[in-house]
Amino acid sequence: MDVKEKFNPDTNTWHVSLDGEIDIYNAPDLKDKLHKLIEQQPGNIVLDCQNLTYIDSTGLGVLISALRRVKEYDGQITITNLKPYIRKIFVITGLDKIFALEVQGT
Amino acid sequence: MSNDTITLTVPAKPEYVMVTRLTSAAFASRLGFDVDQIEDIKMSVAEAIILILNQAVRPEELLIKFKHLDQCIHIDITGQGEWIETNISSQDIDHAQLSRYILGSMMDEVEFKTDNGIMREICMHKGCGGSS
Repeated sequence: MDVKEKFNPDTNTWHVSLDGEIDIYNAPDLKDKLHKLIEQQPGNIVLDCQNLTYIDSTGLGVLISALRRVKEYDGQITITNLKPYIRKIFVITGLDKIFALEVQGT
Repeated sequence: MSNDTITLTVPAKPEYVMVTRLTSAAFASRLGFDVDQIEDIKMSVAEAIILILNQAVRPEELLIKFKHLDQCIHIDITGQGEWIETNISSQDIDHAQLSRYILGSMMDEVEFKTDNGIMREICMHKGCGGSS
């Protein structure tokens, strides 16, 4: 998994790109990373998942945890460029109703 | 290939879940499942393991049996060896419901075997899309 982030002060938004696989092994690293960004500058988060090839329930748990923190200051998390197969996982778990999702190619 | 079985034993540690995903994908591909079904099977194996690992106690190792029977893939995942205490957060335990949703949706049938509230074994199967 590779995570790259950039902050846009005009929109108060972190743009975070996720690359590779997020699973039970590396999900704690992603959790630390997202929480540090939120502490550094509380803003909205846009997760670009164009190169995300896999996410398991522990990865979803990390996103839920980050959303809880962001909601504390009325921020939001938007997930963009999801591959259809990964969007299916969000739908199965009902998380498509919690996060704003944008599917790849739409 | 009917009745062919693959048995895999891995340490019950997060770093080995990828090994089980790759093995399940390779076996499902050999049985003729299509790409989406292979993804479902791969993910289900990982989620079953997460359910066994993310508890107040976890086993030393995992025994995973893949079997091809009656145009289905049957997968049994069993925790074995000594069960040791974990320091997992209650939040992670709460997320177990996500794993159950995924398993219930992606496999045809899933059976959870618990003992004193501890998930010891998960058995599941999915119908095959091919006959190779």
